[in-house]
Amino acid sequence: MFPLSIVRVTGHSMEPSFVAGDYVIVSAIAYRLHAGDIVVLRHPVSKQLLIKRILRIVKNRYDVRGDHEMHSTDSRTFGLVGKEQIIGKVLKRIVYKK
Amino acid sequence: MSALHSFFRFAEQVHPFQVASAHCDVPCGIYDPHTAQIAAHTVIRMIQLIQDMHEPITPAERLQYAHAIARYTAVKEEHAERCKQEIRILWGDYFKPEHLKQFPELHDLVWKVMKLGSKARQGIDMNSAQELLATIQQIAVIFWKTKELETVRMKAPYPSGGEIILPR
Repeated sequence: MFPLSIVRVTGHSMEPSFVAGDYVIVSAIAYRLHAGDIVVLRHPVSKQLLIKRILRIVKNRYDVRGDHEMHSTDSRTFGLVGKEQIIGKVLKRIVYKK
Repeated sequence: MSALHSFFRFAEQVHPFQVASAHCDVPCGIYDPHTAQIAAHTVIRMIQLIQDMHEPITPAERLQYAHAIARYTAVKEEHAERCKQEIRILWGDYFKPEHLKQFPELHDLVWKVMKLGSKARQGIDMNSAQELLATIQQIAVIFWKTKELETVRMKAPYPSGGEIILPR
């Protein structure tokens, strides 16, 4: 991924913060992660790109969750993730409105 | 739709962007080792009932005996399988690599439940059934520890006797 990338969002697990069709600008460099940040990461098993929010940081590992918890595959399923699985931090949302 | 969104949408026709999924495969997040414990208690109770039966003498007693044995055995089979199924769900869907690092005995305990569950289906050995319950309870303690909850060991309020493990 380039230092700055455009990524399109699909699915519903981040609603209402992000909806399917939104674009996000993702920074892959020079960022620090905190609880509450939105990140794009790689699913530890399927390697699919996911967009999630950091709920908490436990010993340099990240507990990532969907904002819409009933419709999210996240750390409750695949566990905490390491920094190496995080592609970048979301800097900006470009809203999709029908 | 904002002008910027329209621009990105147009740009994507030329060069597709990567897609980040905010998806779900419905993890309901509801897990509890209690069902497996209840099933193991049921297995123990069925073995008790089978072992307590008296030799039938009259034809009517023989019929009753055959009927009761069939029912106890069927329930024992079903609940021994339920023990395995419930533990498989915890093992496959709930426990994560960091739990295994913290409790490296977990794989062996799960494997033991699979073997003891099968043994409970195959026979009426009370020692194996008690071991099945004890192993499930070891997993229950680990399960609640992963949720940072202490457990309490209580006298089981069932005719099977023994104990149950509950979160405090």
